Amino acid sequence: MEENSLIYGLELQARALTPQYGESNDVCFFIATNSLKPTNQLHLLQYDEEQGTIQSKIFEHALGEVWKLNSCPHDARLLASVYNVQKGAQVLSQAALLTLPEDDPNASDNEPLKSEYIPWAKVEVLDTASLGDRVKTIEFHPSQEQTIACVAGNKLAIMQRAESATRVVAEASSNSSGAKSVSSFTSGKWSHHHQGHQFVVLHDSSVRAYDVRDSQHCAWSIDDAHGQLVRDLDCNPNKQCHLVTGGDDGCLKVWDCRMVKAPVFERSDHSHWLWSVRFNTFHDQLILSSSSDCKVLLTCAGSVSSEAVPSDVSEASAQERHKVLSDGLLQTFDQHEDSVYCAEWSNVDPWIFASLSYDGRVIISKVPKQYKYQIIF
Amino acid sequence: MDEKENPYDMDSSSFDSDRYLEKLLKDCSLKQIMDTEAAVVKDTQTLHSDMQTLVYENYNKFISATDTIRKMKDDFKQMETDVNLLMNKMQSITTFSEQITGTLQGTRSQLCRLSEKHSLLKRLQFLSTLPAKLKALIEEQNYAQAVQDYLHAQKVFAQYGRQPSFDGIQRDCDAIMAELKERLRQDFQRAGNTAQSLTEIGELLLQLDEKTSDLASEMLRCAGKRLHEQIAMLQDQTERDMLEFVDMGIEGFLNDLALVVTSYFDMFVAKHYEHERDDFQENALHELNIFLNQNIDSYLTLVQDRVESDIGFGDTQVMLRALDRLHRRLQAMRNICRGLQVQRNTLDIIIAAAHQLCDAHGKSLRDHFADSLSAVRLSLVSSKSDVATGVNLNDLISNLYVAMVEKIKGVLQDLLIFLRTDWSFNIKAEHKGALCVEGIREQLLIGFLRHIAKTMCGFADASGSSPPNLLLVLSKTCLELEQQGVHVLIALVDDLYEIDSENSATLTHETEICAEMRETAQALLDAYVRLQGTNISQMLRKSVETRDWLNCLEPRSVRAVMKRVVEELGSIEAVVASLYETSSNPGFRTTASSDSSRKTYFSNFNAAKPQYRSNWSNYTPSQLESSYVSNIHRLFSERVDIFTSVEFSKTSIVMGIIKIGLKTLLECVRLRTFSKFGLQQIQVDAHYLQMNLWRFVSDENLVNFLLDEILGSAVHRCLESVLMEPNAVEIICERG
Repeated sequence: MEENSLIYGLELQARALTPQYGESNDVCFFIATNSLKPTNQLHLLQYDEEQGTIQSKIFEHALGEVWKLNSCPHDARLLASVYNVQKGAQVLSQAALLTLPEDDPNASDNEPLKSEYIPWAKVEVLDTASLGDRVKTIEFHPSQEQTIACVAGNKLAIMQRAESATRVVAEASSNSSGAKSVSSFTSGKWSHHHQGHQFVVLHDSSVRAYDVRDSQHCAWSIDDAHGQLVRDLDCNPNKQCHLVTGGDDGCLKVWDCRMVKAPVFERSDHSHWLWSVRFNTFHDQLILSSSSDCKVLLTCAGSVSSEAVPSDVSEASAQERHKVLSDGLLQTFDQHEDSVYCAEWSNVDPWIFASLSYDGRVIISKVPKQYKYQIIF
Repeated sequence: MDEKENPYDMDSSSFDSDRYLEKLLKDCSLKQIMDTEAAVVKDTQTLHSDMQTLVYENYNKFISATDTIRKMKDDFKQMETDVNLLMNKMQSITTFSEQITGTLQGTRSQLCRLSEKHSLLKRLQFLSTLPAKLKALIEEQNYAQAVQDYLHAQKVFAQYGRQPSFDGIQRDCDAIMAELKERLRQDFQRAGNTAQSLTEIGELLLQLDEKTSDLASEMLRCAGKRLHEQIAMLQDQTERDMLEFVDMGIEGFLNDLALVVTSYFDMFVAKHYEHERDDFQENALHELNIFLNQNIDSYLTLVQDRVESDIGFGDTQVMLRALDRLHRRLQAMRNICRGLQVQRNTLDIIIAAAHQLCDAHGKSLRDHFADSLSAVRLSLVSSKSDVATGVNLNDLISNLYVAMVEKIKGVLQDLLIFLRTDWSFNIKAEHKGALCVEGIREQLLIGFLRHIAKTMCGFADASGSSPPNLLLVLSKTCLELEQQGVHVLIALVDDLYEIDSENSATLTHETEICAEMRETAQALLDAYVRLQGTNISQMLRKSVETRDWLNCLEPRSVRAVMKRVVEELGSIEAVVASLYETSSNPGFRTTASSDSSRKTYFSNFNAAKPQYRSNWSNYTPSQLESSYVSNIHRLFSERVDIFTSVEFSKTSIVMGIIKIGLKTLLECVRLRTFSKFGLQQIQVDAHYLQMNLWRFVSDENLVNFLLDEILGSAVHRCLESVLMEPNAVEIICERG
């Protein structure tokens, strides 16, 4: 385990981590700090597996403390951050699109940049004033390059960058009267299927999917998916209609959105809130979850994965089946000493993932070999 | 007296007068000697006269004897003459007798001839009347006599058959007998025959020279039909109880079967027939075997069906008595004939019954368990407002536990009936039976215990749907089972059924079940802690989320939610304390400081526990700027594991809940941004918690650590980190 993981430390608290989706050769992650002090940074980490080292490029994030990062799957240089700014006695959440500088001149200019922050090629603050002061996340559309979704307050908006048009698609209905008690959306994600027309948002303890072509059209919803707030979700990239959620009740649940009555898979191995849940992009029986109990767990949900063996398969595959990993907790990673708010698979290497704890510690780990072999063979 | 012969005794034969005198003279005085002399003289005289008298008497007797002898001599002379006379007379009688014998000789031979003729005539008459007689007998249905007579006549015909006068008679008889045979055969085939009559008819037909092999198969066929009817009849006897049912079966079916089998055996197997093939007997035995097994099979199938439908509903004892009777009867049947084997065994039925009863009991146990669980749940829900829930919980647990254990014990006793020593069968003797007995242990008891564990585990999994106290009750019940119940029950079953579980490789060991129970108890307790923890968390989360921390006023009091949390913890502790030992040794409590100094903890704690990361308030804001400090501090302080499994003790349970609650508070604080007053409010709240939580926990440092983290995080998230004066904080908290 020890030689399996690599630690990178930040000096400040951090809560944002995302893989560089546009990059397809190297294992790269973005991380950003979350501090009230004006020295917030954004690091691009590149993991070199052969040498077992991490190379980092440091950018300044002068806009404010970063709460959420997302990278664009179409452009390796583009990423979106959600940050807080202070305005008088108010703290506002805003979002910006950041563009990394071109790589080419880097080779020669490496020396002078060492002490300095690398400058951004472009910083574009999104106009979210109409959506309220609580931006939660900016989500790039998986296939349409110009489309981004913005979850802010109790609104879900779709933005077309080219036209600089913003369209509110859905608004959380206030269950009770009184402006204060209107609970806002927690987070959201594009569904990988349905021709990219569906966006899934988290609202308190429920999960809802909206069709972005038709405002207020709720495609399906799972009410009371968790006992308490649902913190995070992830859609199974390889299996339609399957998504995983994690909530404050410490449970991890896999749902089939066609059967919203009960989850198809459920574990409660964490002892506190789940902050992030992720399907492995390549082998979706592997689910990574991080929690404020300072642990990152690797769970196997083979029975509901796209690689699941259908129950009516004949004898021939019965031999194979016992090699398949059994459902349940595979491995606990407990090198973190503070709450782990993010854990992300690498988009390049299916066996590598990074996790980030509040104290600024990034750990890049690998799936233990024995599980790897069991899945491959 | 020692000496046999005393020379001084005058009456003795070895008397020595000289020595006597010598002794006398030596020993005695003169006077004594003179007295002695006088006595001796006197004795001598007396003896002398006695002698004379005796001589005289004997003389008289001799004289009278002489007289008698003389008289006898005279009498004998007279007798001699009488005897001579008698001899003469006898001689004359002898001569007369010889004369008479000679005269009668001729007549006697004549008589002999006459009597011979008479008997011959009689026999002839029997023959001539035979046809009529046979007819009459057949008319009277006295077939046995008819056959007897016919067979009798047959011998005569065999002797004199060549004579034409008999020929006619013989033909008549044969015709009649052929008719009889036909009739008998019909009778034989008729379905309504009892086995008894079947046997009789069979015997008759055999005597009438029926073909043996045909008859044998015919007999089995007919008997089979008849027995089948009986089975059909038995099948309809559903309203009778088992004992009557089996009695009927034994009296009707089995007795008939036994009769058929014995008579068949006697008729065909035991006898040797000249005109049949050599292996006829062997074949017949084989056929009989098949027949017997078929019938026993179908009967036992009927019984088994009956047992299956009855078991669990009727009185098991009655059923077993019935089966016992059946077993005995079959055992007896088995001994009827050598060479016959009854394959199917009643024991199988009994074992199957035991299995079935086990299953039925298992099911009823499960049902009962489910009922009592829902009863517990109901009473928990209904008594929610009850203040004295503590007592209530204990009662519920003991009710649930005792009811369960008693029920199991009852079932085990109930099943013991199969092993009663006065039954003729012994289940354990057979391998299958032994397995069955082990099945009582494995399937019934162990299975049920596993079921308990599984069901209870289900409550732990179903997140949020069960009331927290139910989890607590179930957990404690599991724990009791683990500590006592499992052992008691398994020991009981091993004892009752004499199972040697210790040395068995296949049987489940007690410790396995105990471990399972303990796991369940642990899971339930964890679920309880999680549930209560989330409840507290919910309160804290809502309170932090809804407040505007940037624009709040200077703290004047502790926020109400903190008081509610402490109250809630207090009531949880009260409930838990009623179940788990309250006597947690105060010595184990790792207090950071005494009660009096606790109140001033915040003001001087930098000296108290430096290793527990509680030094943050020592830093000036400038020091706080550098997060290195806290990171370096982390390096040197020991890692505090916040989330560990809960132990079965009050403080551990409450601590588990507190930890979840405080961790939630920490997470919530990290999500917000604070103004100066917001931070100070958190400071006040944390201090209030610190003042109130110590009494719930054993390790105060952990609480302090978490509270420090909370305050530390709040400092990090504060725009203007200025802490309140510790004294002011204290005053606010004291005010409540």
